[in-house]
Amino acid sequence: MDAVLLSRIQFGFSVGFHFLFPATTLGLTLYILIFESLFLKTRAEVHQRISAFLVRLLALVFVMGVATGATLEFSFGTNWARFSRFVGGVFGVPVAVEGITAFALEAVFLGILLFGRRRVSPGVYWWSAFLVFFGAHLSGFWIVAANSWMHTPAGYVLQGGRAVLTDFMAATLNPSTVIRFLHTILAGWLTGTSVVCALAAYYLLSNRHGDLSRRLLRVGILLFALLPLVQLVLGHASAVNVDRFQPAKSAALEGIFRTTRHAPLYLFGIPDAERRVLRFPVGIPSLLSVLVGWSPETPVRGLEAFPRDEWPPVGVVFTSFHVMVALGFALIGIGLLGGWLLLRRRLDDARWYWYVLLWGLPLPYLSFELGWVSTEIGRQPWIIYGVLRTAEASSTVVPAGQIAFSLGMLVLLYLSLLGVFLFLALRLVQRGPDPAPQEA
Amino acid sequence: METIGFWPALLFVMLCALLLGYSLLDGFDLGLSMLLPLIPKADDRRVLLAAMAPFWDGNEVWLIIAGGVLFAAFPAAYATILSGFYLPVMFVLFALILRAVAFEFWPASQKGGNFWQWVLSAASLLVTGLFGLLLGNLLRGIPLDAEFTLAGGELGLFRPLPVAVGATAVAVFVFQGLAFAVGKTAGELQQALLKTARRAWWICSGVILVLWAALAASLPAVWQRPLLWLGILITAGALAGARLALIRRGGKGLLAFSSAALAGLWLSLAGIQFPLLVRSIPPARSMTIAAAATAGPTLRLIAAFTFFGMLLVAAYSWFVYRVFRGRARAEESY
Repeated sequence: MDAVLLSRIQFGFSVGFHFLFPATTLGLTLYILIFESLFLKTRAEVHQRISAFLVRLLALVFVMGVATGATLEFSFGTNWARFSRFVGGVFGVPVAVEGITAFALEAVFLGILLFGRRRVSPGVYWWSAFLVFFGAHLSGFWIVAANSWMHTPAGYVLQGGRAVLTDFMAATLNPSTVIRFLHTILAGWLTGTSVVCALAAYYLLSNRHGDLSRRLLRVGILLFALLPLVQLVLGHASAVNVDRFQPAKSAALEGIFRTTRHAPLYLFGIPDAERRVLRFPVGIPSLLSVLVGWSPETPVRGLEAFPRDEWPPVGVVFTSFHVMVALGFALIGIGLLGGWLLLRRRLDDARWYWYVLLWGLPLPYLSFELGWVSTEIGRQPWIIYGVLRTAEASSTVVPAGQIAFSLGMLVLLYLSLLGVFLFLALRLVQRGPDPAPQEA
Repeated sequence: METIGFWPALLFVMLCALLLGYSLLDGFDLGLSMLLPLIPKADDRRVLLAAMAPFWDGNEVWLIIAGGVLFAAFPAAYATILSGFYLPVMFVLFALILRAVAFEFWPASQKGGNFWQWVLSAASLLVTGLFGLLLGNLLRGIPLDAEFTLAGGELGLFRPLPVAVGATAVAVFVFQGLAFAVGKTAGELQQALLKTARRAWWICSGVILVLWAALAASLPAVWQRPLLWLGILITAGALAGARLALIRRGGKGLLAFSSAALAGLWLSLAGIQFPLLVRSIPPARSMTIAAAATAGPTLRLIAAFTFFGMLLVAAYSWFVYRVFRGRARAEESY
C-alpha cells in the first residue's frame, strides 16, 4: 500500500475514533449544566446527585477525547507535511486559537468540576460547569471552523506556493462554518440525550434509582422530542449549503449523475460510477429540486458536470449519507414517541419504550460517524476543496512502512483503550449515582 | 543573512515562553509520575496522584497550544520537524495517550491500579526523554535540503548532545515534581520527599554540567552568545538557591528555585538557537525563523491571541490552583 493511502486510513481512523468522545462530551456538559442549574434553582439534592454522576462519566469520556485529540493536532505535521507547509498560516490559526481560548478553559475548570465540589461555593461550582460547557462548545467551533475551511476555503490568497491569510473573519466564518458547527453541536446534544435516556431506562428496567431516573428521563425525553427535528432542519440547510458550495460532493451524496431539472430525491439506490447510473433507484420525483431551490424547475448539477478525476468515491458517499439520514428519521420517531408518552403521562410505566431507549443508544453514534464519512470522503479528491488534492498533501519523507507500523499501533492502542473505557464506564453505571441521604 | 523582523522574533520568544510554561507545569506532573515507582507505600502514591489530578490536564494544554502556535506561525518548521521525526513523534503521541488514560484508569480500577501506575510512569519517562531528544536534535542539527525537508540519511537521534538534553529533561522534571510535591505534603511523606530531593539535586546538577559540556563540545561557536551565559548564570544561581532551600529551610521556596533553573535552561537553549528554528548540517541550510514564518498580518494576529489569551489562561489557572491550595488529600482523588 502506498504512503498516502495509509495516511488517509490512519487519519480517518484516528479522527473517527476521536469524535466518539467529544460528541459525548458536548452532550454531557449540556446535561451537567442543566442539572446544576436546576440544583441552584430548586436546591433539590437529587439534581446534584444526577449532575455528580454525569460528571464522573464525563471524566472518563473527556480523558479519552484529550488522549486521542493530541494525535490529531500533530498528525497534520507528521503525515500531511505538504498540507501543513501550504496552509499552516491559515488553517493553523484556528487550531492555535482553539487551544488558547477554549481547550485551556475546558481543561482547567474540569479540575474544579471533578475534584472541587467541596472546595467551592455552589455558585462557583455552577460557573465551573458553565465554563466547561462553554469551553467544549467553543472548542468545537474552532475545530469545525478549521475543518469547514478545508471544505469552503475563504479569506486567503495564494502567494509563492502557499496560502496566506488575508481576512481572519472571512476564513473563520467561511460559507459552511456556521451551519456545520450547529449541525455538529446538535449531533453532540443528541448523543448526550441518548446517553442519559439510556442510563435512566437502564436503571428503571433494573428497578434502581427510581426517583432520580424518572427526573433524568423527563428532561432527556423533552430534548429527545425536539432535538432530532431541529437536526432535520439543520441537516437540510447543510445539504443546501453543500449543493451551493461543493456541487460535486452534493451530486455524490444524492446520487445524481446527469444535470437535470425535476431532480428526484433518491431514498435508495446503488451508484454505479462506471456506467454513471444509480441502479435500483427508489426516489420521490422532483423533490430534490424543490428542496434545493423551492421549485421543481431548479436545475441540479450531476457528477457528469465535473471532470472524472474530480469525483469523490460515489458509492461510499451516497450510501453513508443515506444511512445517516435514515438513522436520523429513526431518532425523530423515537423522540416523538417519547414526547407523546410524556404528554400522556405514560413514560413512567412504558417498559417496552425503556428497551427502545436502551437499545437505541448506538443510533446517534452510527449516525454521526456516517455523516462524517459522507462529508469528508465527499470532499475527495481534495484535501482543500478545489485548491489542493489530498494526494499532493502528504509527507514525502515518511516511508510507507513507518506509517503502516504507526497505524497498526494506533489501532491496537485505541481498541484496547476502548475496551478498558467500556469496562470502566459500564462499572460506573453498574454502581450508579450516590444514594440519597435518607436511603444511605 | 536575511533580516529577521520583529514579529517572527516575537513569535519565537512566545513559542519559547509557551514551552517554558509547559515545562514548569506539565514538568511537575511528568516528573512526579516518573518518580512514583520509587515511592514504596501505595497510600503515599495515592496522595501524590491526588496532588496532580486536578491539574495535569490543564498543564498539558500548554503543549497543545505551543503545537498550535508553531503550526500557525511557523508552518514550515512544524511540517519539517514532525514529518522528519515521524517515529519518535508517534511514540510521544502514544505515550501521551497512555499517560492521559492512565491518570483516569489508575484510580478507577482498584485491581488493575498497579498496572496503570506503571503505565503512567513509563509513559511519562518516554514523553520527557523523547521531547529532550527531539529538542537536542534541533539544537545539534539535522540534514536539510534546499526545500527544508529532511535530505535523508541516518538521523542519529541518539548523538551525545541530544542524549544530554533528554537526560537533563528527565532530571529537571523529576526535580520540579519533587519541588511541587514537597509543597503539597506533610509529615513523613514530606520528609521522605525532601530526602529524595536532596539526592536528586546532585543528579540534576551533574546532568546539567554534562549538558553544558556536551554543548561546548558539539557547538563551540555558540559560546559567544550572551544569552547562553545569562541562562547558565540563572540556572547555577537557582540550583544554589534550591540547595539552600533543601538543607536550611526544609524545602520552603524550592518550587520557585526549581522553576528558575528551568527558566535559565530555556533561556540558554533559546539563546543558542536564535534566529534558527532547525539547525542544519551543513549549517548554511538551517531553517531560520524568518524563512519558516508565515505572512506578517497572520503573525500579528497569533501574537495578539497568544499574549492576551495566555494572560487570561494564567489568571484563571492561578484561581484554580488557589482553590486546590494546601495539602493534597488522597480521598479527594476521583
